[in-house]
Order: sequence, then C-alpha cells, then structure tokens
Amino acid sequence: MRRHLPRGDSLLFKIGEIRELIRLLDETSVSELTIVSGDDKLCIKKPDVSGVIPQVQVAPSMPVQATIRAVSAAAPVAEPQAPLVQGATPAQENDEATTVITSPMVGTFYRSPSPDAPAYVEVGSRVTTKTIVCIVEAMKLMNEIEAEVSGVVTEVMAENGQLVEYGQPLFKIKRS
Amino acid sequence: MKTDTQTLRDQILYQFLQAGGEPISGTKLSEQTGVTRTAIWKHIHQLEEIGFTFDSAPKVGHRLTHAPDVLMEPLLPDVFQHTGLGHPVVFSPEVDSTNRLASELASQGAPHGTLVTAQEQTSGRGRRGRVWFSHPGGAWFSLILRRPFALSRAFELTLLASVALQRVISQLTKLDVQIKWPNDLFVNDRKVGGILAEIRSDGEQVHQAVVGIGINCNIPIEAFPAEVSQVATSLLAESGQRIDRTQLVGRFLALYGEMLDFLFRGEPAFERVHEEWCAHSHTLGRQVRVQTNRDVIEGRAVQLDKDGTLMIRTQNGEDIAVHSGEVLF
Repeated sequence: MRRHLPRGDSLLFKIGEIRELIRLLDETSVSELTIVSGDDKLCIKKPDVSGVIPQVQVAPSMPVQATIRAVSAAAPVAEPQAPLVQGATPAQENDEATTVITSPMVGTFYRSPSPDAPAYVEVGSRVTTKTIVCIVEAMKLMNEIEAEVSGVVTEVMAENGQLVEYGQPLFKIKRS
Repeated sequence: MKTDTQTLRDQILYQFLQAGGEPISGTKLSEQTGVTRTAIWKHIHQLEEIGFTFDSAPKVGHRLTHAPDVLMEPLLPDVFQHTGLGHPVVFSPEVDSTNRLASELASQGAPHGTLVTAQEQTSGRGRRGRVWFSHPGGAWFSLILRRPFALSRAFELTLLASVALQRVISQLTKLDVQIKWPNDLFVNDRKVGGILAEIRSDGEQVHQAVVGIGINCNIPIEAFPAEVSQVATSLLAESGQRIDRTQLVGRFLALYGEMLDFLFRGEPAFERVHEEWCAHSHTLGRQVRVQTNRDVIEGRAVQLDKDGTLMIRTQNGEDIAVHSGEVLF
C-alpha cells in the first residue's frame, strides 16, 4: 500500500501518530504502509510470518528533526522481541489487564532516586498514573518515569543499573 | 512558591534599594509593607545575616550601606520580560538541595521560570545521589520549566545549558572554560561547574523539568576538602578575581531563555550551537575512558553527534556510541 500525501509546511510524525499508525496496522490485514511527503518517508512493515511486531523504518533523504531521527535510531528493527513503543504491544500472556511500562529512551535504568535509597516500587506496590516507578538516565538527565496507569506492579523486568534500550520493557502493571 | 517571609524580606530589600543609600524610617517601612516595626527589625536582622550591612540613626532610620552579591530577586538583573525565566526567585540562605526544593515546589504548582537559589547547600545533588560540595560563594540554583516539548529532545536541556554557561563564564572571567561531555564545566582540567536535570515525562512529552546548576564561583581554594580540590577548582582560584554571581545568573538566564525558546517552538536548538559545544569541548580529540554501567570503554573521543551522543573510537578502529556514562581520565 502506498499513499502520497501533499507536502505541508512540515510533515513530521509525532511519536503518538506513529504509534497510532502501528496500532491501526496491527488491527488490519495490511502488512505494509509507506507514507512519502517531500523528502520524508515513513515505512511501517509487519512480517507476514510472525505477524506480531510491526517494524518502523524512517528514511529521510535530508536532515530531519530529532523527533524522527530518534525513532529511526531507536526502533529495534533487529530485535523483534522488544515492543516498539509504550503500550503498543500487549503483554505476552494475553492478559488484557496488564500494561507493560517500557523505556521511552536509551539510558541507564535506576530503581531508586539514589544508590542508598529504597526502590521507588517493588513487586506488589500499588501505583497510580502519576507514581514515579523508576529513573532512566542519559547524559545527566534524570528522567523520572511515571506509571501512567493505576494498578499493582507484578514484575520488574530490568535490573538496577542496566543500560536499557528504547522500548525495552521495564515493569508489568496489573491494571485496576 | 515563595513563603510570606521570603516575599516580605524581598519587599523590604526593594525599599532599601530604591532609597539609593538614603535612610528609611521604621515607620515608613512599616506603612509600605503593612507589617509591624518589630517584624521589619527582624527582617533587617536576617538581611544582615545574609551579608547586607546597615547603619542606623535614631529618628532617621536605617540606611543600606552594603549589598552582598547574593542570588536574591531584588538584586538579580530582570530578564523575565524577555525570557519568561527568573521570576519568582525563591532564595534560601541554606537549603539541603536547590533541585530537591525545586522539584517539591514544582509539584506544588510553582510556575514556569521559577528560580530556586541558595547561599549554601547542605547536600547538593550530584549524579546518582552523590553529594555536590556546595560551599558559600558558589552559585547554586535550579530552574523550573513547565513548557511541554518532545522527550526525544530532552537531552538538549543540559547541553544548551552547558553552552550558555561556557559562553557567559568565559565573557565574565576571560578564562578558557571547557565543556567535558556531557555537560561539566572545566577550567585548567578541573571542574568548576556541573548541571543535573530532572524531568517528568509521559513517555512522549516532557511536562516538567528542573535544571540544576552549580558553579564554583567565589570559593577560596583553601575551602575545598583535599579530595575535592584534586578534581575541582573555583573561578576565584583560577582567575584571582571575584565573579559577580548576580551578573552570571542574569546573563545565563537571558541566553538560556533564548536557546530554550527554539526548543519549546519545536525548532532546532542544540543544532544551532553544536559547533560552539565542539569548539570548547574538553573531551573531543582526547584519549578517554568512559565508565558505563556495563564496562569501561577506552578510546579516542572523536565526535559529538547532534543528538548529544559521544562517539568513541577504540584501538581496533571500532566506533562506539555512548549515551550514558562518565568520562574518566
């Protein structure tokens, strides 16, 4: 499927828009979507066999803004086991009430605000949307990750101090 | 937000500054601020403890004879009109950590542009819970930002701050200030300043950021503990001159505010000053060891990408991209 969009002032896909496209693609039998606008091109493919994880490739032919570049650099095309974006892939157990919190960026995963402080959350901790569950640090930028859902932590999926990739699962939350 | 006490202290200070060295009577101060003369007297005493000096004459009142160089709102250059930064200023003579206080104030609804400053931090925050040596004489401040922008560009917050500080401190001191990746400030191979940002995001947008900055300004070298003086120094020690901290912070806010506007508008921001970062880099071209959480990477720092990633070329010619880690020597 190929669709050409008229070139606007700047057609830059927000991560949310890409996420929405992936979701749409996932729900249909369409296996590939390419959008070209001027010099920007977005291509989302899902392999026919495994059929679970859509892949995203962004192929700009000129410098584009960081929003796109970040996706291109971070999309784990070669590692189809990792869900692409937060909430894009439901937990493997098909448990509809479980949300997987994934890392929004490449960085170091920390479970506590400082080495000698208690962890933000443990298995069994109750969280609300605004509860901080961990920090992902890159370049002295401490990113405090909020749960975004209410529920109970059922699994901690990364180790303290570990380098995590974009989209890597960090926690499982049983929503309530 | 400012407490009533802090607001009143600032009001009284404004009155003295407006009087331009002329005496003001306690009665007049009391009328203008709406509090008792006893309360006024208490605040004047507090100002004296911060370093202000007054003389007083019976029936005439108090006269401000000296204002110290401290990061209080009445003394700071007003850049709020142009940048939206630096108002209100929440000053404390002593606080545990300006970043900790700023985060708390932000969660209570402190507005975009709020600046939290302190004379002294008792447990200034470094990376990963390390304590940052924060002796009086330094510039310790944290800025609250609440304009949303893409999380994918959050790294620009601290890189932009490092470029702005490099430029401002070089101008004010004529020292050769360098930036050690990602955003430490170095003079003569020792650290004079650091930046630590804490952001809250929903996975897509940053909706709150606290940018904490510590600059070793007017700290005598003798004041540094031995183990700190091996790796750190102060602008006073290196230049032999005291730096006006209110000028430093005012100029920084003006410049940083301009840079941030590009970020908030979704336009290239760090890209515009990327060359400047590279030109003043302490890291590029050097043989470095980078401590990551997995291991130590050794090689030559060959490039800073426009997304802030440091490229290290190892001995066997392999290029490794480093996003998170600490450059050792």
